[in-house]
Amino acid sequence: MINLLFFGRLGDLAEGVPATIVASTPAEIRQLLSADYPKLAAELSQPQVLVSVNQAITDWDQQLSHGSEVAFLPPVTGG
Amino acid sequence: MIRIRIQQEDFDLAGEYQQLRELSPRVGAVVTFSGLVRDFETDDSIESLSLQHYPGMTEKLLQEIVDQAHQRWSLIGSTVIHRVGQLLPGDQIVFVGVVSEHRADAFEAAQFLMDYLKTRATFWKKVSQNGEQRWIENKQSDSAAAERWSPDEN
Repeated sequence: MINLLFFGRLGDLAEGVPATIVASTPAEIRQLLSADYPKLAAELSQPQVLVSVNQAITDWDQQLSHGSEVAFLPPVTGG
Repeated sequence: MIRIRIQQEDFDLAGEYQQLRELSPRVGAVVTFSGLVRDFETDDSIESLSLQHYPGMTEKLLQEIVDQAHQRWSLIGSTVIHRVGQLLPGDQIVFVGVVSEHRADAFEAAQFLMDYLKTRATFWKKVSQNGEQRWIENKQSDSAAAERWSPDEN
């Protein structure tokens, strides 16, 4: 099981998405979501959206293991 | 001495300044920056701002950013405070304070910390306006400001 987190506007689009999913890469998660959440999946395909695994920014082909925390991060706007 | 805090409550500028200046007798320069919630719409005021962050990751990223500043400049200490939750126009939102022996280090490090914090730390702002909420888009000028610290340009 992979734990999913969506931040910023992605969080609004991810309403109703299960908190966990079975997948081997972040890219696969995006693919799996595209059927039921096409708007979210399209947003996740934007180049400025970053993905982190266990709180470290990584690439979309990163291999996931059981219990991984995958977060989808739109451009940050702090400060 | 590095202090990093993410909190809902307000911070006391004078208190933070005092703590920094008392860190060491070597302190010769204190640079502090505080950012406020700006009423940034020209024709329409915002009602409030809501700040979300990624607990755990934000602390880690801020620590990395501050560590970089300490590697790059000769600093005695630094404090970074970022507020989260509901804020109103005019509220304090962020504090960066840096102390060093000489002013150039503190000035540059403070600017670096703010530029990197704005473009790398996992915070997201949502504004309420006319009863509606929307997420703020990031600004190109912030990315450009952070770019100038990249190793290629120095």
